[in-house]
Amino acid sequence: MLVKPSIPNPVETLAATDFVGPAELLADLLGGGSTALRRQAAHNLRDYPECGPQLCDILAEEPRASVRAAILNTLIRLRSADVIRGLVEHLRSENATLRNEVIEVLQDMPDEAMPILEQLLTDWDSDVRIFTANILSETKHPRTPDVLIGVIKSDPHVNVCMAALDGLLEIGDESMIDSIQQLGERFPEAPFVKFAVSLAIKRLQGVDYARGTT
Amino acid sequence: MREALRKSNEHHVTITSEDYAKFCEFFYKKTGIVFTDKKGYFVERRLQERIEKTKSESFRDYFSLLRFQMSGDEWQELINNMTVNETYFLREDYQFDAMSNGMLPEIAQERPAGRSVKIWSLPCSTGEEPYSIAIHILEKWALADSYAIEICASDIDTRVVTQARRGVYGERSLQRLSPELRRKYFSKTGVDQYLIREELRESIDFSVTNIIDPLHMSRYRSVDIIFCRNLLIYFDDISRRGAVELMYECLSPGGFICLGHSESMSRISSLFKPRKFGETVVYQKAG
Ligand SMILES: C[S@@+](CC[C@H](N)C(=O)[O-])C[C@H]1O[C@@H](n2cnc3c(N)ncnc32)[C@H](O)[C@@H]1O
Repeated sequence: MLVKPSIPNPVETLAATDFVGPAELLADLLGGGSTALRRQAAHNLRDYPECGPQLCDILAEEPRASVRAAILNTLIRLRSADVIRGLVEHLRSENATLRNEVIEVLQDMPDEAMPILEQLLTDWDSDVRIFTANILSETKHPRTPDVLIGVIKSDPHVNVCMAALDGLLEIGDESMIDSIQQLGERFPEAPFVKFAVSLAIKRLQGVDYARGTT
Repeated sequence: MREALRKSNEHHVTITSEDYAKFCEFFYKKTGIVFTDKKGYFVERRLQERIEKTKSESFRDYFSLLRFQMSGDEWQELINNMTVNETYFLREDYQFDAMSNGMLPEIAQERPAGRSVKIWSLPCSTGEEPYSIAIHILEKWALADSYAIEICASDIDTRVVTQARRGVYGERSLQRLSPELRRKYFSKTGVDQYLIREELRESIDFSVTNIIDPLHMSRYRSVDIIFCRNLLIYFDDISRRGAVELMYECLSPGGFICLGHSESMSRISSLFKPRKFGETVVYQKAG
């Protein structure tokens, strides 16, 4: 049986929402209230760029995925250098879910993230450099190919180079073949590098061939 | 790269590429819609039309009107002109089968008879989608009479919502409906003009709703199934995430979202689990 729903009108809803400032919102987020309340607080914090760094910290502590998703959405909107710095710190976390969430949102703000990602490619921790190469591989930015080429030419760690090579497979073209060839020469003692390099070269030649014929 | 200056003919004002970029950014922030370069010609033509109709002397004048007019009428008019409202009865109806064969029976299993089941068509455009949902349920779901089925339908475009409430359709919209369904649910009111039965018109709640506006969205709670089809294709990942976040709040635990055939939840949200009913994938809110 069809029944007409009754939906409150926007004015009534508006009246029900009181103004809440950033301090209260942060308190709501940290205060252990319901997940719905925490999500709403995270959502409303998008009007307060100054809370970005704190939100990045809270992200790591928040146990519920739906609240973290709301925090991440707010952080994407704020997308300041502070926010990006706060987010990349979580790449060092042991928590793989958190790391993956951070990787995804950084890919959604390529212009803002690029300078900081480039700095991260000189990080002492090779795991962080690998994650950074993974992020770059999926980041739509005009500098991405050059930056990844820079990695395979100079990063001392073979796994970082392999992560960058993976990215180049998706976005590269024939002009990169020389640099990729040199990668094989840089790690002569690692047979899998040789294998990956020859596969990559074939693939990039294939890409260009396909382009030329269509 | 777009050319630097959009040259005017005698009626048109000049819109520079900075103006155009500013306009697109503003439109995007308010609606979630991204205008790709491919759409540039369409967008610019509509924009010129509005500038002309409002007798604005320059892009700047028009842009101020758009942003600061108290009534918001011009903003609404512009939205109505910019949206793509293509739709028809029984579009992608394999999802309606998934609803009557899979989602509704699952919901009914957990819910005593007599209670309500809420379904929301967002965006509904001119109404073919919510009316199709209603017809499909009445025709195909055996338990339809045991539940209070509430159907809401919303769109950002006021013109299509008014049309949806009127419920008058032409042949093109009805193409996929059998003669039997036409007889049962429509009356012919003119050449190429069919009016949908009053019972259906009266039982659906139509409203103007912007999917990325938290205030609009906060009016909807405990919805069991949202049909959000052929809208997110016009968004970028960021506005998609925002829309999905707000829809999450509107759904009851275990509620479903049905997206259009070329749309998917991957990369936007991990809060929904894909569920397969037959060959159809829909997304279920966890918990
Ligand atoms: C192509 S129609 C889809 C209609 C129907 N769901 C279908 O699949 O046939 C897209 C609709 O989305 C509406 N729309 C665009 N932006 C919107 C927004 N931010 N909030 C709600 N509706 C929006 C447009 O007005 C248009 O009517």
